[in-house]
Amino acid sequence: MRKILLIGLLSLSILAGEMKSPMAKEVERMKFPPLKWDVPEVGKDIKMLKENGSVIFLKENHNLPLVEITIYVRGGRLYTDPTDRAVCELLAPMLERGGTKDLSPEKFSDILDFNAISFSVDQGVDHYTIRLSCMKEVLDTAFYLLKQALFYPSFNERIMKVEIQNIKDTWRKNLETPSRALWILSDYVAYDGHPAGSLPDFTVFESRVKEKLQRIHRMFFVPEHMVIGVVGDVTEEEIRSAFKDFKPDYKSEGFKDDVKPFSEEPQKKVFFYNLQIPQGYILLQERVRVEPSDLYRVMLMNEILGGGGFTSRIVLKVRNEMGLAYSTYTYFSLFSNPLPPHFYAFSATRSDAVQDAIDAILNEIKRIRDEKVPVEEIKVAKDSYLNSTITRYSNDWRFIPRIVNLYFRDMPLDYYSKLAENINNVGIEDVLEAARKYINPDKLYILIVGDTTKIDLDKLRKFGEVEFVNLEVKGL
Amino acid sequence: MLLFLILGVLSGPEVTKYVLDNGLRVVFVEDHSAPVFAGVVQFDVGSYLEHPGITGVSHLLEHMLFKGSKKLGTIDYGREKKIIQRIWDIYEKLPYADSLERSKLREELKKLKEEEKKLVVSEEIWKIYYRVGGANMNASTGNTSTQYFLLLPSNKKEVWAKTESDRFQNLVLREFYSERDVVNEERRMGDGNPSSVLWDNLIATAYIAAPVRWPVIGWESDIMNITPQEVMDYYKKNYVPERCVIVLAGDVYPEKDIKLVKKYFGRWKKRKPPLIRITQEPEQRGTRRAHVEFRATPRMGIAFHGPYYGTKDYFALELLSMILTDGNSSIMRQELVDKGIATSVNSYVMDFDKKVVSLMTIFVNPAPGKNFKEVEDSVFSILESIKKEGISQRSLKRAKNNYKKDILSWQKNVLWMAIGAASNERVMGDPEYSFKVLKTIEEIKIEDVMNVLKKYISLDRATIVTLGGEK
Repeated sequence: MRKILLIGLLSLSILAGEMKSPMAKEVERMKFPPLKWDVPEVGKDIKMLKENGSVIFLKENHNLPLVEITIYVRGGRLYTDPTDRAVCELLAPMLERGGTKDLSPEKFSDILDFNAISFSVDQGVDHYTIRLSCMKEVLDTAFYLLKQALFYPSFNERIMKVEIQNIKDTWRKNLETPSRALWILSDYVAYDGHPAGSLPDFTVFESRVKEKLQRIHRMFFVPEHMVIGVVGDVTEEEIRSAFKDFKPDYKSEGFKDDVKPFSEEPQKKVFFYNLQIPQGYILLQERVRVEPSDLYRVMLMNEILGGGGFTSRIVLKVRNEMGLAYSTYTYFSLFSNPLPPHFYAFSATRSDAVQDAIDAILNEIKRIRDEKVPVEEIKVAKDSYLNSTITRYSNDWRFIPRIVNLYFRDMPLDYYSKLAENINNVGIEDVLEAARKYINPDKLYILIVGDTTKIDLDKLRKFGEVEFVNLEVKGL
Repeated sequence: MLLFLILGVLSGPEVTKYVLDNGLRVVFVEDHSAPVFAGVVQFDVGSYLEHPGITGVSHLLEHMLFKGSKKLGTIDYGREKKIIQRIWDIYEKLPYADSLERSKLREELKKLKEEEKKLVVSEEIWKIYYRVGGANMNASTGNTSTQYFLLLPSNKKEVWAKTESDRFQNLVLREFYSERDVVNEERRMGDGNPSSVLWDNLIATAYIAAPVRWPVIGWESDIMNITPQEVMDYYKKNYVPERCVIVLAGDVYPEKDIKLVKKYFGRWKKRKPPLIRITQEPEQRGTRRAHVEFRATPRMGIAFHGPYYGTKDYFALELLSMILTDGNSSIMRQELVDKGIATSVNSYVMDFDKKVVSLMTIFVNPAPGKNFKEVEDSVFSILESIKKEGISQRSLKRAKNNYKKDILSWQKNVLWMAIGAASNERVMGDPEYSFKVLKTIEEIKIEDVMNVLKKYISLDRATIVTLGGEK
């Protein structure tokens, strides 16, 4: 059903009991002319095409002579043996700049750079993301390079040596940068023993690297594994023509999309990674299994708890009132299929206040599980969602990658067009129920990156046994 | 009110500029592709106006401007005002109090904060904007400017005009001390990050006099000792309409919307901006070096003073920087990264809005087994060989192509357009300056790039800072 948002007419009614300044009251009394705007819909505003087994979402936008392409390719360490993780990582830069069947690495980069074509390949746990951006006038060249890079890489040995060194360097830096180390620790603990949580083993680079790269590449990089988004100054005809021959001369071999079962959740403990920094980076984390019917309840509950920016409870408490953190928030990784979603609560605070920050977060979690959210608080959260669809989703350049992600994650393609309606249907009881059902303090475990000489470990033990984690990367 | 109508130049959007009687400049950038608009309020205020003792005040003030005004963030400012003043007094007395008095003062402080809580509506500005569909709302402080920005549905312009005009005229420094702690936590995040520490040391070494040498966030001792009165004095002195540019970009209609802007911002009292004297950097005499002990993989930053922003030389230097390190086909990527001397190399030019001389920086991460000396020698050997052999037409054209595409890409987002137009107007007095620069870029020849290379880039003009690894 097509949803028309009459943004200006959405109620901003005065609600009894809420503290409001004179300015807020004046704003509430304002009347706004209605705005008619629809979230772009697949099949109507966004074309959905199929070529060679891949799905293409196209949004024509002729305002600027630019074209941007986003491709998700199913693949990555989730679908391989843990020993292949390092090879999965190396594949991304090698596609980006390792040369192709017809072009040496130097020639490939020269054409790309000379024509101001941006091209990148990033690897995630379960997919590769390819981004290409160019001016309309060099679109044919860009398509040629894209096809060469994705289907006919040559994996030049000299560049391979350089990129192996770069990947190792990146890992060294990751492990000394607190925010990155924290998220590595998060996956490592959450998916213990699973390919999703594995650390790379760089000793695999000691032999037959090219052969390993070729095997992994052919397994993943076929049109059938690709979801493509195109936005910009192109027509359907141009895109059909460009993607008609967008296929390799090989077939995928050895790809199994059945994901190895995940191990049990970690015990309620404090997992500590030692790094000499002036703060403690904290992550409270637990695995959740959100039923599709509960999706919007969870989203709204999280908005109120810590996901809604400066007006959410944890930010108001930990940052605003206690002055303990610049950055603090909560997050549900709801769009993570096939990885199990998680609930995360983050904060970074001075070393001597780590326990206080954790206590404050746990108290807010307890509060949202124990007490109904006041009417005015849920109203702010709902208004924020309802009225911001236009500011969040009206930029084609940003919206099409979102659609690619939806399709890739098996989410309904009308998710964004129905978002406002679905959020609007969430009630106070739903928020309470979602908090009780999906955040279980007895299961929350804590991850900390910080300095053991500055953070009082005895105080942390009240949250569970402290286990030191050594993020050992072999061959680094 | 003075009206300038500037027709779009090159491929830029339609731009209209007004100057209100109080000196405030108002720019409209039209893009009707979606019913949204970006509102940007940008001040010619940044850490360059600070001095040791109050470093970080510009950034702290930016934080405080989200705390509200006499009408915003409070249900009764009359009552709150007395509480705030008493809290300030106690904080001033605390360092000098004996232990008995200190405990009494702390007890009183606790009670006052409880009282304050009953009157304060925390973070209310966010609540107002969130409820009407605000997105991308934030602010940033730099060496030379501070800006406040957000996206809103285009039928909510009046909410923006009313709220923004109020907070910049009627600031109240509520919740000051807890916010100061927040800022210090922000600073600590940087202190734990090797790249951030390297930058702080590089800029402090490259500039010995110009007021861009301290971190924008400030030094800890300044942040934690700065008083509310100092922040208020700084605000009153510097946040004046003549040093402000506001831009509305997106679904805007200048002739109609200027009336709304005038209604709210026209009340802002005209005040003579303070006389600003900016200490200029003396000529550098010889190489400057520093090393930072830090448990991290080795990193190196090399900096050179460059020409002032806006000059042809400046843009030639930007092109040189692109030729050196942009893309895998660039000279330094090929010579340093592909030959196993470094794991990465990047460069860019900091313009400092022509307030002080620009700074071209090259960041290099030595490859394992390579020491700082070897990397430094390689960098300068490449630069010297370019001086002898020159650069190719193709590499210059490549840089120009990328420059042009960057300007085009900037127009994909109304918020970027608004911020860019505000900077252009504030620095060059022309919101469309970026588009006009394309003409200058096109005119730059190989000789121009070679000239800036020879004039500005040499070992005896370099500042070299290393971090981690070995000395």
